[in-house]
Amino acid sequence: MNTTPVIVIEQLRFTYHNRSTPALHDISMAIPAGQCVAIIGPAGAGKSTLCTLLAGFMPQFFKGEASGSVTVNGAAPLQSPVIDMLAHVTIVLSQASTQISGVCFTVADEVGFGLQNLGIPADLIRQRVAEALAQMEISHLAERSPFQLSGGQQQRVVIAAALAQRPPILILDEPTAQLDPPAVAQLGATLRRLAANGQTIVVAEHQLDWVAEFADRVCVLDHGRLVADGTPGEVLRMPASPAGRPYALQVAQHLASHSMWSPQHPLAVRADELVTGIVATPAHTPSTRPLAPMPHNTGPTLLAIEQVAFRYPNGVAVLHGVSLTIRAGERVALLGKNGAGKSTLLRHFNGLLRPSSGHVRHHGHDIAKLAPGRASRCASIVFQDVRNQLFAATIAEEVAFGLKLLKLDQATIAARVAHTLAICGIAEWADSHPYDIPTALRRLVATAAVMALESDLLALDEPTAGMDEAAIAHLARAIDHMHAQGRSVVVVSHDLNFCAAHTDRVVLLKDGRVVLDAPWAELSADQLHQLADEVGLPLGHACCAELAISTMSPAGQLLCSADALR
Amino acid sequence: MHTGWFDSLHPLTKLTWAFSLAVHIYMATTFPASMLFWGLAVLTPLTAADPRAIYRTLWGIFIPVGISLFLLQGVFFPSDTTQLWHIGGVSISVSGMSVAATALMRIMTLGSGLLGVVLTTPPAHLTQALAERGLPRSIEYILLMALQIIPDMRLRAHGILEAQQSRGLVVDSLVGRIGAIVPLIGPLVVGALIDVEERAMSLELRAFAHPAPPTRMIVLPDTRLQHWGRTGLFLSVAGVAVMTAWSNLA
Repeated sequence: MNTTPVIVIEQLRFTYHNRSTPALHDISMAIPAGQCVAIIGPAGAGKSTLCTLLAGFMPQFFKGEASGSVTVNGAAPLQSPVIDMLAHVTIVLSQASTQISGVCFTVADEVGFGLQNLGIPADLIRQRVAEALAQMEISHLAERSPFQLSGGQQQRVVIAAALAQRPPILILDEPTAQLDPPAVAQLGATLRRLAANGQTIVVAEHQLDWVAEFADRVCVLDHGRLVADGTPGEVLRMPASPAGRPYALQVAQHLASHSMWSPQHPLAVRADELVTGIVATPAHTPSTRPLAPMPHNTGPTLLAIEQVAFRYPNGVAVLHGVSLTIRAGERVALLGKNGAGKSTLLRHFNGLLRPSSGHVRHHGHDIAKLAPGRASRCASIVFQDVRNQLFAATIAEEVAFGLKLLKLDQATIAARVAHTLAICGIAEWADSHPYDIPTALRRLVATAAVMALESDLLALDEPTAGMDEAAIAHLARAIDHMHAQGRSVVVVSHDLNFCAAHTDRVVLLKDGRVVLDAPWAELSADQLHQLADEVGLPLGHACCAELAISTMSPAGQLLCSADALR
Repeated sequence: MHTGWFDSLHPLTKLTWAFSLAVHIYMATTFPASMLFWGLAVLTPLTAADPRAIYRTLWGIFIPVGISLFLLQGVFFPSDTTQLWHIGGVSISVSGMSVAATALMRIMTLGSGLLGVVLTTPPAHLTQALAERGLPRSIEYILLMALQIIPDMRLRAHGILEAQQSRGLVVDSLVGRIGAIVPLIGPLVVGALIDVEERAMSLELRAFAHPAPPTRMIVLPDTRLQHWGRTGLFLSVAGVAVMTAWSNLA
C-alpha cells in the first residue's frame, strides 16, 4: 500500500454559523492512499460534518467558521468550491432519494449524469456506467426509472453514480442504512476492491460489524473530537467506546461470561473471529448454567390474517394466501427480500390496504369494516421514511398529535407524552423541532409518536436504519416496554441481529407467501438454511450453522439467546 | 424494440411538423384546405410504432370535446336561419355545425401533432434536442424536473396519508378533511424544503455547475434530409403567415 497521505487534516476546527459549540474540535489525522477508513461515533458526533467538509461543502455551502488546515489529494477543500474538488473527491450522502438528480428517466442516465456534466466522451460514459452498474449489481435496473426503485435500490444507484466518476477519494456517509445484508456484504467487497486499486475510501457508519469486516482503520469521533484511531480490532475492543460495540464482540463477551471463550483468545470483533474463537475454546464447553427453555406465547390471538391475497390495481399480485396469527404480547420479526410483500402485508394490519381475498381480523373483528385511520387503535405503523410523518413545531407536539385525535384530556395527553419521550430517551429534546435533532433520533421521535397511542400492535418498518447503539438501545427499551404491557410488536428490518435480540419469532415471506414461521430459538438446520438463503442469519445462528451446532443445544441456546446480542 | 418511422425522426423535426400543421390549419381559409391539414395530422400517428396508443389518447380527449362543441355551436350559434333539425324548442343550425367542425379540426390538428410528439419522444430527448439548439441548461433541468416531480410528489403525498392514518388520522368526512390539511401538507412542505438543500448538494457533486459544455450519452440521429425538411416547413409557415397578413391588409 502507498503510504503517502492523500488526506491530511491538521488542527481542524469547524463551527456552524449561529452555533456556539464547534461541530469539529482540533482534529488531526493523515490517511494514506488506498486505505479503507471508517469513521464511527454516536449520533451528532460530527461524522457527517467531517465527511461533507472533506468534499468541499464547508464553509462555501454550509456556512461556518473553520480553522486549521485540510488537504485532500493536494487540494484544499476549505478554500475550494465543490466543483473544483470533484477531480479529487466525491461523497455519497445518506439519504438516497434526494440524491436522485430528478432529470434522468433511467438508471443508466442517472449514473452517467455526472459524467455528462463533466464533458466526458459519450463512449467512455457508456463504458463507465456499465461498469458501475455491474459493480453495484444493478445492471438489470438500467432502464428503470430511478424514482420507481426501492430505497435500497436507489442507494445502490447513487453509489454507482459516485463510482462512475472515479474519484481518487470516495466518501460515503451511512451507505448501508437502506441496504439488505447481502447488498451490505457486496458493498464491502466492492470498497475493498477499489481500495486495492489505489482508491482511498472514507465511510461514516453505524454498522460496526460491517466496519470490522471491511475497514483497515477506524476513527472514533465523539462530540466533534477524535477520541480513538487504530485498527478495527484495537478500536472496537476499546471498553466503553462511545461508538458502541459490534454484535460479534457482544456475543464473544457473552460467551466469555459463560466460560465459553478461551481467555487466551482475543475477543472477536468479526463473525469469522467469533467462529474461530469458539472452535479454539477447549471442547466448546457448554454453559455451566443451562438456560431455561424459551416460554411459548399462549396469549389470546390479537391479529389473525386468514388466507390474504392482494393484487394492486395495476394487476401486480403481491400476496398469495398469507395466513399468520399474532398473539397479544408477541414480538415478531417479518423478514424477506425486497419485493417479498412485507410492506404490503404490513399495510393490511390496520386497513390501509384491503385484501383482494381473505380476512384480517383484530380480536375476531374484520378490519376491512373500519375506515383507514380508525383501525389505528388496533395496529399502528411507523413507516421507514419518517419524513412523511413529522410536521409539528416541537417533538412534544408531534407525540401529542395522535393523542389529540383520540380526544384524550389534556392531563392524560401530557402524562403520556412525557412517559413516552422518557421511554424512548428523547425527553431532553421535547421542545426541539423534529428536524433540529440528529437524523438517527428522528426515527425515535416517529416511533414515540406512534407508540404513545398505545395500540394493541405496533409495527416498525426498518426501525434501526441509521441509528447508533444508544438510539438502538432506546428503541429496544421501548419494544420491551410494550412487550411488558402485553402489547404486540412486529419488526420489519434488515438488521437481523436486532430482530434476533428483540423479537421472539421469525416469519419469512417469499414471493408473497409465508415460507417460514418459527421461534428464533427453535430454528431447525433446514430452516436456518432457508433463512440464510433469503435474508441471511443473525450472528449467533450463523455461528451455529457454521459449526453445525443445533440452536436448541446448550451451546446453541447460549449463542442464539437474545442476551448475547443485547 | 420496434421503432416506427415517426418515432425515429429527430425531436425537432417532429416538433416542427406539429407546429407547421397547426399554423397551416389556423391560417387555412377554405374547408377543403382545413380538411387536408387535419387529415395529415390525424394520419401521422399511423407512421408511429404504436399508433393505437396515440389514437386511444386522441379519441379519449377529442370525442367528448367534439360532442360538446357540436352541441354548443349547433344549438346556440346565432344569426342563422338554415336549420338542420328542430326538436321541441331546440334548433340545430348548419352554420353552427360548420363552425364546430372547423374548431374541432383545428384543435384536433394541434392536439394530435403534440400528442404524436409527446408519445413518441422521450422527454429527455426533446429537451436534449432543444438544449443542443441553445436552450439554457437551467431551463432544461427545470422542464425535466417538473415532469418527474409530479409523480414523485404524488407518491410522497400517498406515503404521508398512510403515515398519518397509521396514527389515527381519519379523513372520511368534511371536518376530517379540513383537520387533515396541516398533518398532510406539513410533511410535504417540510420534506420538499429539506429535499431542495440535499438535491442542491447532489447536483454540486454531479458537476452540474461545471463550466465545460456537457456531453450526451445519447446521440439524437439527424439527417440532412430532415434538416432541409425542417427548413422547408419553417419557410412554408412564414410564407403562409405573410400571405395571410397580405390578404388581410388587402
